Amino acid sequence: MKLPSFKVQILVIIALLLLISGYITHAFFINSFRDYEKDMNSFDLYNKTHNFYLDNKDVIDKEEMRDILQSINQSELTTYLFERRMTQISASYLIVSSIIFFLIFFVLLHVLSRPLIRLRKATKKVRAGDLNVRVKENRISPINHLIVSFNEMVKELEANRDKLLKAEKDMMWREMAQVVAHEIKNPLTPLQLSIERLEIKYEKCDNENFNKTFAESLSVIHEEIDNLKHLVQEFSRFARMPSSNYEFYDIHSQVQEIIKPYKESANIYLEIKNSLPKFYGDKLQIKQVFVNLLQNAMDALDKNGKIFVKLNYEDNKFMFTIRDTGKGLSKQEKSEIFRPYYTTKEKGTGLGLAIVRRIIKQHQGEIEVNSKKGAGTVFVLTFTEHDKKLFNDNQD
Amino acid sequence: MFSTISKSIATIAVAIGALLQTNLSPVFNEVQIDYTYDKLICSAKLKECFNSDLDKILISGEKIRIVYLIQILDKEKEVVAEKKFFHEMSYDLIDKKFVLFLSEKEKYEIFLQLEEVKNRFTTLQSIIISKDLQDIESDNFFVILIAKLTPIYMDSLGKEFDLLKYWNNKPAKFFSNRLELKEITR
Repeated sequence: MKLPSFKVQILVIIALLLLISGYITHAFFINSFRDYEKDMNSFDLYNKTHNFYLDNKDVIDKEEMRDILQSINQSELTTYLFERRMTQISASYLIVSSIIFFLIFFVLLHVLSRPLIRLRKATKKVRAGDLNVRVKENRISPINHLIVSFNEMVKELEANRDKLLKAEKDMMWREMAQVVAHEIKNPLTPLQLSIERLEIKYEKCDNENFNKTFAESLSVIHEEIDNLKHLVQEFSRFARMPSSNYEFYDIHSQVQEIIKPYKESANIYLEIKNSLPKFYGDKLQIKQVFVNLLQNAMDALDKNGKIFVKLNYEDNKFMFTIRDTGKGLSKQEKSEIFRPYYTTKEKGTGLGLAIVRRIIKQHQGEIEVNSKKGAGTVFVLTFTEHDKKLFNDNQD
Repeated sequence: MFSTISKSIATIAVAIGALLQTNLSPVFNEVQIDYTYDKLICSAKLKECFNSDLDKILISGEKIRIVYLIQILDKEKEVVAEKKFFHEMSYDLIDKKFVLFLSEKEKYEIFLQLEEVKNRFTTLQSIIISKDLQDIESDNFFVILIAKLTPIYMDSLGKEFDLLKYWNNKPAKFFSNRLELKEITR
């Protein structure tokens, strides 16, 4: 059974208190005096005395009787006026108590609900990723201990997040350092060998062979230098993400534009489910995501392969799916594809999907991959519509 | 249980009704001022001056008095003439009749019905103010009527009971517009 709201509960309590006040007033004030008045009237003293006078008016002095009747009437009048006065006092009591009850109601509402509203707002911010938020503590608030616990919890979360980020960063840099060292070491060997070969040929002064070897060695050196250059470029791209520029825009048109050039060399099908509202994000970064995922899908396809791109909006969520019918991924590959410098391609840098994941994370989104060797791969991107302000704050 | 709740609600309603019951604000109605043979004649009716409590007091046998004051003011609003008189009524508890004394006429009138006596009690009938208004400069003047309930002494309370509280503790007042003699001369 659904309980009525807090306000309704308090109002019901106040209504009950008022009823009790009314009952007390009735029982102890008005009723008592009415009973007393009724008792007095039941004597019917005036009429009885008057009748007695009429029966014996020859022997009773009229003026004396007038005084007696006046006294009786006066006493009845006093009772009546007193009862009227008590009714008014009761009314004042009821009105004053009502005002007090309502004051208590509003004070309670204020004392209880304001910190609750603050807590709710803070929880929302925490949910959006803002761990700097704190709720103002108020010692007289009955939920102050809850506020204190909340603040401590957020503080701990913030500390843990910072530690985690630091650890993740350290780990990433170590991993990257290893990979970069490895990648740089690879071209160094052919470079070294080529130079050694040139030295040997030069010492032997065998012009014919030297010219041939010189040309070959130069070619290897150029190629390896190009590889190193490409590696360094990709590395700096990954290391330096450009600043974000968030806006509302039509993602449907954007995706149509992106897939246009790919359609010439592959079977790409675009499907829109439900009408899409404006998407809030960085246009360039989202383009990079789609380009990377489409390029990966293209690379995985055989001659008759197909790519299905699906855009959907449901329950305040954007859901984008890129499915290919390519060679798919093994369990091992699936678990590592987002790791920087991990690649299954001959000439890949292994940074594409790492960049994709980073962009999606920055957009408060999620990326999921489903794949089976030989059965194709599906990437599912989900973006929940957040409070835009918090969303923006979170990017800073 | 149900009767308790209904009694409680009824009590709240009665109590609040009693508190919200506004006190009376009597007013002079049907005011007529004429000037005839060098005399100012004033008639008026006091309205909205009784409630159930006052009715109860009227039939208690106490002597209830309304003091009336009629004043004539010149254009500077200085009092140039006035007449003070009263109406006093009481209920004869033995003969069960109302006796009304009109001091301006120095006569008693007898009534059997409360409504009749109340009507006469609050009526100013051709009250004559002897004043030669020709003296008033530029013939412009004002008339003020004032009525006030006086306190009664109640033996049972052992003190005075101020009836004027039923009139918001204010006497009933009427201020005429600026009057010109030729307009009201008959």
